Amino acid sequence: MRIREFVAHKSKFILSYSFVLLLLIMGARLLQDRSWFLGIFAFISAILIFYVYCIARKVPLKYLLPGVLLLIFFQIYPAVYSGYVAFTNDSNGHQLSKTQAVNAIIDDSLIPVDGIEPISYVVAKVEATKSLVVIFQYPAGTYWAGNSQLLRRLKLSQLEREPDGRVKQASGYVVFNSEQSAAYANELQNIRIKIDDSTSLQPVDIDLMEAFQPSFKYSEIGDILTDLNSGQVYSPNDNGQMVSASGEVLYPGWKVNVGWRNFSSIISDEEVKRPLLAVLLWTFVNAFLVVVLSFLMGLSLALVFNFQHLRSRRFYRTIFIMPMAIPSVLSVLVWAGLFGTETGVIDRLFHISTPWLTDNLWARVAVLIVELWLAFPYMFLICTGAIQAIPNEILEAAEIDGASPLKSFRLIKLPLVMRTIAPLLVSSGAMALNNFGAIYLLTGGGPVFSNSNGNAGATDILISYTYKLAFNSQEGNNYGLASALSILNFILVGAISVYGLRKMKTMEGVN
Amino acid sequence: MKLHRIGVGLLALSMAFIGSIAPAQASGAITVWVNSGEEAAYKAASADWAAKNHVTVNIVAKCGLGDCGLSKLGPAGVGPDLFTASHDNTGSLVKSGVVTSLTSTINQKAYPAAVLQGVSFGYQQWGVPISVSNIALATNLSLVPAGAPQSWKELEGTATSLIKSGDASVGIVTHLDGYFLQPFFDSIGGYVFSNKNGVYTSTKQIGLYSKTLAKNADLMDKWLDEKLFDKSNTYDGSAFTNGKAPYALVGPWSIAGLDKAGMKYEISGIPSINGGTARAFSGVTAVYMNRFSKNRFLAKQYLSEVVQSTAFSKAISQANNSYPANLEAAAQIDKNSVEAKFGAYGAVCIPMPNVAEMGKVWTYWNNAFADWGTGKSTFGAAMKAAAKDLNTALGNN
Repeated sequence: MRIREFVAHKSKFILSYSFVLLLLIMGARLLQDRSWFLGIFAFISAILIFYVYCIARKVPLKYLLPGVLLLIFFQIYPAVYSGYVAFTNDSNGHQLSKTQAVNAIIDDSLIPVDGIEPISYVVAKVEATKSLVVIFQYPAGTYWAGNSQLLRRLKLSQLEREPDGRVKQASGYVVFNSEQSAAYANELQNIRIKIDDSTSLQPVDIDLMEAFQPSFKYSEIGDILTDLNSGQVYSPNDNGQMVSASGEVLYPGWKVNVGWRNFSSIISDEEVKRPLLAVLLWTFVNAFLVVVLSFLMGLSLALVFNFQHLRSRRFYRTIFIMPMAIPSVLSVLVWAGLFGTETGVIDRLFHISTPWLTDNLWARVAVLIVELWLAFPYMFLICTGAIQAIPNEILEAAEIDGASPLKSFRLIKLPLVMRTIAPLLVSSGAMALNNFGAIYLLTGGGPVFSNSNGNAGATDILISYTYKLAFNSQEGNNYGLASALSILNFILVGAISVYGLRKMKTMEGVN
Repeated sequence: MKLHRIGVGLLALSMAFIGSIAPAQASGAITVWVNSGEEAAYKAASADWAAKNHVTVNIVAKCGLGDCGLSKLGPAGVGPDLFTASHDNTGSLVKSGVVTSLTSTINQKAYPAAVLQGVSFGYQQWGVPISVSNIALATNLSLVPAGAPQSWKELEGTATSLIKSGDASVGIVTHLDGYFLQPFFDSIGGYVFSNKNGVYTSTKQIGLYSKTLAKNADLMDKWLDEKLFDKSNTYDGSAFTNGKAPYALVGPWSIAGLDKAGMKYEISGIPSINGGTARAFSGVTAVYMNRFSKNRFLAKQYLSEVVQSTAFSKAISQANNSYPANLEAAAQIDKNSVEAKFGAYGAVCIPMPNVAEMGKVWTYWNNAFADWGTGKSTFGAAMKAAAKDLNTALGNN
């Protein structure tokens, strides 16, 4: 027994410390990647875990803390983040920051300057400030040390040179050899040395610079980009793009806050709106039908298999719970195989040709069948439980009082079952509103409406349409709009659930 | 309690260790994301250069279709230095700002003009071309001993008579979508964006329901009724290999399957109804550079010395059964090989549009093909509706 205690104590020690260590490493890496929120969160979690489990031994907190941390990490953070994204134009073409985007526009417009030969350079650091510079001669005989911020002329007396003119030493600078320079490739590739108003030198290799002329010039005063060739002026619009007066847009754009535009486009943008109504309608119809049908099916099966004189009831019950035991991913994919037109098992069995997954109506029927298959075992299970919980005396009393089986079902069993199950029906409804998996795997939302933005289809529910807008569209991903729609989805599901639960409360009152 | 003191000590030590992790120095290594299944070929073709220059070239099978998620990963700084993509992504990659111009790196004389056109957007070129691929017509020689059709009449006649006699169940095995049916679309006078010999002039003028197409649209309905195309829109490759279909539209990726089935086939272009050849879309596989790469010098060197070499273009196109983009490599291909047949047809194909607007085109265009294939509407009506919706979506009116 001593040994077991010892091992338990040691392993607890090792586990908690290594977990804290893991979190610290994660936090450091996250901060390195400038992911401030998550990095700080990891550090705070590490400190809290260390305090609660290793120092203070706060027993109640031991139980609370993991749940709270996971809640923040997996629920609150994503929710807040998508709330933030919903108010930006985060989408393809708007991924960069403004500085990055403006630099990209200028960099993409660089044209090599004819007449200036490639210039060789050596890499050095200023002794006093430790800033990285390149030392080069331009024109021949005149030496400079410079980077994007500074450009200094070097006196010949400062330099010690190779016979070919290459700089070997420079007083005030630490000059690197080519191997040492290679380590600074990342900084070197971003150096732009302005030698006059329109020309800049830019390293193209570890020891070579070329002269480039940009076609655009950015001036911070007025926040404008000027096309140096045509004189055309571009200024930022409210969608994070540089636009000329005549409406010509420069790419890439950048991410900006667009206020309520994503939400208003749900109502006003013809392209977004067109499929949305059909999608919304099907979301509700689908959820309603799945819950009602699976409840009816589960209830009737539960009633039948609760019949006391039935032999091997347990066996049957086990069979009906089987669909729950099979991973739903698997069963949906199997169903998808069964539904093939003419080639599928169902059509071959009955010698029919049903456009299961290609016709709007049949695809919806197919989705309902599969969802029903996935949902009824749960309903069967809870109904069985609820029915068995009804005291036999009541039913016997009813029988003695002369109630027919139908009457005893309608007046005794059903109300009692409903009382237990109604809140579960509400939660099932909320889940059915978000039943992404079955639809994504079975039909992918299809068959698509021919005139729909982002490939919305007849079996798409709000959440699968949102997914298509965010990740799956050939038209480029629109995270902003998708986040707005997912917030809408949250409000709808939340409102319906609250309403449903309220209703249930009044019912309880009646009972 | 002692244990805890050790623990605190350990933690302090590890904190010091974390603090001392310098920003990762990646000099001497570049990372290239390639299509899955092709990584071995890339590794082999880069090995010599890597060994000679003491550089690690990490080839990672990460890309499939589209931009490999680079528009999100690039700015976040977690993307590769280089990645392969099909040239039709060029427009959206440039618009996202995640690729950097390679005009000065690309040896202009090494590639055909049409290939360079494919990787161009605006005034710059953005990808180093490796290989070119396009679909082509495969003729089942055991069903059609005369070989590849010389004219549309011959193709249609052979197919319909085989279907009538019950020897064939379908004329041409194909997907019913824009990419596969583009040659027929071209044949009857449709086009996506107005172009002059494959050089696109404007995205404002779309030809999904051009005047010529409107006149010829009935032909597509007729061909569907004649079972030239399979209505169920399932690409039943086995119908072709089992001798139940005289023709199939195949890509370079289908060749391994055909050879494995041990059948006799011939690869050719697709005849147009107006005589001559109908043009499919050609696609260029190219290597793009991540704007946020930390190793641009080394990556550029790799592009110049490896990717643009004749041997590389040859090796990669051999590996994915496509035609080398590099002119010298193409010249070395055996004229009678399957690759050369694809290449010969590819030379008359038009490059797939590479503008970002193409995403919307695929959506509406493919949906129109689906509506027609499932019998929801006639070809003309489907294209008319698609053209109208597309014009709205692109803000053309």
